[in-house]
Amino acid sequence: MVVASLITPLLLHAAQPVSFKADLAPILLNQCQSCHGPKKSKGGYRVDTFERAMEVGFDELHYRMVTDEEDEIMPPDADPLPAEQIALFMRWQKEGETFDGVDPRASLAEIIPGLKHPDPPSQYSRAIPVTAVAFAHGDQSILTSGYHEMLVWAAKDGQLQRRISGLPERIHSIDIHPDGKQLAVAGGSPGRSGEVRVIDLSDGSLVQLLHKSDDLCLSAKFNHAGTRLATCGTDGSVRVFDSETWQEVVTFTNHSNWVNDLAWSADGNRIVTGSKDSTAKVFDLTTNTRISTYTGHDGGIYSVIFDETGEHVLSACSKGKVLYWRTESGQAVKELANQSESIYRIAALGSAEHFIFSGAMPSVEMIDLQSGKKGKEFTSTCNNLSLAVSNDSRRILTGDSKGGLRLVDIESGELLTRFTAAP
Amino acid sequence: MRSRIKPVKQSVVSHYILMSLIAFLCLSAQLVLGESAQHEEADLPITPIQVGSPERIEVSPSEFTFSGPRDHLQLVVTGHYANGEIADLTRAATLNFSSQGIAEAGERSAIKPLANGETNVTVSVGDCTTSMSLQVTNQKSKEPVSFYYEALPALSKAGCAAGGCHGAPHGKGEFRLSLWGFDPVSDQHTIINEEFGRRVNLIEPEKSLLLAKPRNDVAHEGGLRLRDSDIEHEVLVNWIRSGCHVEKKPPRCTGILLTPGKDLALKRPHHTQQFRVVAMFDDGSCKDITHLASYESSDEKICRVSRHGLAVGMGRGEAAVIVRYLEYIQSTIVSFVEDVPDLTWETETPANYVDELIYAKLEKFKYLPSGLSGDSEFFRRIHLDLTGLLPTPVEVSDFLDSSIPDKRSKLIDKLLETEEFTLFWTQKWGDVLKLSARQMGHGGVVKFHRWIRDSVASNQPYDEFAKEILLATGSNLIKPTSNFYRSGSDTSDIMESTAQLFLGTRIGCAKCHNHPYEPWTQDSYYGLSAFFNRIETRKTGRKGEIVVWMNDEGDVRHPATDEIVEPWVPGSYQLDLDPELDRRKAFVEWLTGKENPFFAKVEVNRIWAQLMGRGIVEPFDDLRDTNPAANQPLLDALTADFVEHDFNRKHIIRTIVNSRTYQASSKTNQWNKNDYRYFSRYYPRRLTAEQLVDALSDLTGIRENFASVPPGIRATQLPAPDLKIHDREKIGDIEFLKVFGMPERQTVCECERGDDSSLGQALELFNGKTLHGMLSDQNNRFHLAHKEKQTADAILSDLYLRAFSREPNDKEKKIAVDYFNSAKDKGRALEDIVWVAINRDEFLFQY
Repeated sequence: MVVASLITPLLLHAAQPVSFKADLAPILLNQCQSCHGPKKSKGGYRVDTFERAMEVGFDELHYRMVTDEEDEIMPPDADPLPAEQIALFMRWQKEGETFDGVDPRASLAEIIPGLKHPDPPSQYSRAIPVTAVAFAHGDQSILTSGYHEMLVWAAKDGQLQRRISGLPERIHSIDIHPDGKQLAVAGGSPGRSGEVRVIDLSDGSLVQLLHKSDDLCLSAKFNHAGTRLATCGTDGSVRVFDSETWQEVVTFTNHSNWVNDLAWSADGNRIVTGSKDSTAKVFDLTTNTRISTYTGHDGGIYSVIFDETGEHVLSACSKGKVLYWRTESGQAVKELANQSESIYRIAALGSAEHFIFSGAMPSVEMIDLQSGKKGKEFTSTCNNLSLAVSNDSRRILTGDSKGGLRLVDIESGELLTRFTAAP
Repeated sequence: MRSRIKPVKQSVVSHYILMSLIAFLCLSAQLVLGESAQHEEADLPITPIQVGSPERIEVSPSEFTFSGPRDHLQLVVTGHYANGEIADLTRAATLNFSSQGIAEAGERSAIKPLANGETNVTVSVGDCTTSMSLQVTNQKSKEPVSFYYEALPALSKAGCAAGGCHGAPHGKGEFRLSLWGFDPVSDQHTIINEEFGRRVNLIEPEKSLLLAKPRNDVAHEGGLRLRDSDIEHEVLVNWIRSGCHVEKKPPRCTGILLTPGKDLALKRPHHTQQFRVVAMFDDGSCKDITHLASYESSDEKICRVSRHGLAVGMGRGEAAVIVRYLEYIQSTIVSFVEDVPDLTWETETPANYVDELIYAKLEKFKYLPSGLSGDSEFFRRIHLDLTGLLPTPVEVSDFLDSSIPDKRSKLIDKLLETEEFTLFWTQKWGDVLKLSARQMGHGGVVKFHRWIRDSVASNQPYDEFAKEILLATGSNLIKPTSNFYRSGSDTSDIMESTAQLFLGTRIGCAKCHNHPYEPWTQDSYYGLSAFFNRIETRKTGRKGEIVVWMNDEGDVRHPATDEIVEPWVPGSYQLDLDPELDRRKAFVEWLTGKENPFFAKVEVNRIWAQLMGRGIVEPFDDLRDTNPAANQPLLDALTADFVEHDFNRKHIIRTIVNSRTYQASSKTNQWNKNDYRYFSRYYPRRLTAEQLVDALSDLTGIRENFASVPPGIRATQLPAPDLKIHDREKIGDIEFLKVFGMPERQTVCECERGDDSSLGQALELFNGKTLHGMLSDQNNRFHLAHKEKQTADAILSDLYLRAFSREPNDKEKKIAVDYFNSAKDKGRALEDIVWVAINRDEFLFQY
């Protein structure tokens, strides 16, 4: 339990003062924020920032934790807070009610100090879904999402080469910086926390921790020049960071539900985002404004990509459609695919004309942009959650919900390597 | 004491809000009931079992085979006593095994297997013993947790799949399970695959969101629903650990069996009963699933059932113990009786079989019936129930002074023949037949209303009444009952209305999934629809006219399979269906036949509820096994009487209101003050909105006039609530009626008539426009009387006779007259006195 793992070490050193950000913020976040937060604020009260949490005054906060009145005790539908947790609040008050964060208006998720991730199990009792894959080291290696780690496999035979730990429980996106030295990992622990971690690929060391959230981060992508990193996630926000200083350049909160994916235009001036709210939005980063919204999907959008010129976007959704529309206006051009199952990923196949997509269907499909017709089809297993195209555009890689990896040659359709991505 | 202002909503509702409210109430009332959390035994008032000296004990089952490592067995130990009583001694039993290491006893006389082999189990309670034999097999089996038969029921038992939570049509928090697990295929996808598998953690199963949320370890709006010590938690953890394995071709579960399966009675100090539940499969196997079933009671005031299947008595009475597993639902009725030592059982002499049957039940539960009501109360009450109106002072005085021996029954006979009776009881039918201008147009309402009025006035037999409505064909201007088919928007609506009105069943739930409380399945729903789907309605050129006719083809297709569904009626009767014939005829013939188990019963229950304020089955259009009648023999007797008298409604009304039960006082005695169900007294209830308006009119002498009806028509006689948009300045204030719960007539549900109290009502009675208008009108009764120089005494006497059907007593006289005499503005003083009278419960309620 998140709270326990933070509380216990501190309880052992009772001499240390209670830290609001490390000790109390997690309690408020886990026990209170679902009903007293930005989405739902019962009684008009919110705890999601220090300033808001303290608006009612410490006495009222404490009263609610300890009262005997059945209709006033908080939390209302569960056991009262454990005595140790209430004691922490009391001690904090005695010690002066100091706020040891930087910004009293920052969200609790942001101020809770970066969690140290537990070590991954040496062996997996079960293969887990492969939610992110990438090619690295000149297409010699395959990177896959693991459990609190990223795994590095040899592309030619599927041998495990390396394990990079210290990462979130689930990884939903792996993106390598154009210079090949750093990579950005987006993920988290479902329902509990989320983050984007930038690490050094050579030794797995932490470069920067960004976009801390109370639930998963779903995508993090560098622009083609490598000067910016854009992130998005379940909190509905899209953030752009300078990849030298790691300062936040802009944040967009236009979406009303999770933002599942984003993509950069080739010139780095635009990003397109796809959301569970069934819309895709295009943002112009020279003006920091939204320039269009596409509303043609009737299901959550899982994946988005610009075409080569950046004048159009291809978006894929939970209702099995790939739709092609104009960047500037959000106007529909045509429907490129209509499957009966959800599509989770769409990727460009090097040339301007071909794209591939995968999802809940047992195949990877190719789209020919010119004709709008379906091209080749590569048989696969069911439920491909992740997809990557090699840098030389000759091979495709899929990861499925049972931990299976398949590396396929595009030209011949031959299955080159197949293995289960679990140590 | 910390103050807390809780905002109270006004009960004036807009059309949209009302619709969603009605939909919620009618379709979800049962669903909401079902989601009360399973009771922990620590929270229930269980006193230690008093074993006493049983003659012998019995254990069920007498033999059992464990066929897997996760099997459970719940024993039920029953003690038999010399005086014929029985008691559940399960929790007081000690178990001893003849061979060690084969099985072990846990708490509550539940047994778990340990290793393959055989053993005898000696069961002892006090000096009595008995034994049963156990076989344990297959303990080394690696068979993973069953998704269908262990994991899904665990989710239901934990309450996750309840209608008010994730089993709701759109789920909660974007997590949607099928209601009570009726769709395992969809649930499988939702739990395992949805959103990239975030809900389950295959490597650290306890961390899965699926479990962490109900444990409240992660913010969960639904609160704490699962503890890691619960069996559901253990099952789900093991299931996730197996990789969320879903078996390919499991045997099909064909039903469940309860032990005890027959209705039983428990007498204090015995007030608990352990249940055992077995599931049967189509491969011939069976499993003890006591630990995985979900338990509820039909009445939490009388009985609560723990999560371990222990029924605990809370009060005197009977309740259905309802057990649910997968789509199966079974119930057993348990009665809780008690000796009450200081009670001498004495009742009025029964006037008819109603009293005999009521008193028999009351005696069982020791609810001593209250004595007879006084003449004042009875006179006022019977007028309100039969005519909807308060009696006049002259009528009151005549009755009180009369010394004719059977004056009450003569009064009843007289009132049953009045025009007021006809119009008031016509309005009751108008409510549930949805007579409203919005549905049927002004002309339709007037004509349909007139038809019903004639039917009531002539005391048309109920079966003919139903036939004429259901078989209506032709223009609604010529055949008024055709308007019935305008009251629904489509076949489903008509069928659901018909089912609720005439079969007393809320089958609507089964449109989209199996009914949560009944064996109605989707097949039943669409099968019943097949009788109605050939009904066509068309508008004609004439204004307000529609024509109803029967198509001779057209079939209902099951939405899931797209196959044609054959017409079906409850009880699976095979009906002879001539394809040429109007299918409705077949349905109506079945419906109104003397053997039909629903038709007559629903109507007598409805009449009972309209007179007594509460049905023998309540709600009275919700007959089902899991909602037992308060007095089944009475319901059966009334039904038989009704049928025998050719569905004569006045006969039933007459029988009921002549009984001592109806005529009982509404005052409680020390023995029956907790009875709210068995009719040990007359239960007071507030006057309905229409009765209230008319009562105020009669009291003050200021008549309300309503649009589009002849002057002199009272609120209790209005054909419909919406005949014309009312001009609030000029005519009767419909808003007042709505505030007090007048139904909009959007559905056939009796629940539309609101009987809750609300801030709006309180305000109306304080100084609302209607009331204020009546009180201050200088031409009202009191102002006129005062102008004519009548004495305060006389005015007061008139007031009390009108309002309460009695004279004021000395204290009341003194207070009022003193107040009047000392007031400067006599007119205002009178208004105050009248205002006080109106705000008394004695005026607002009938009792």
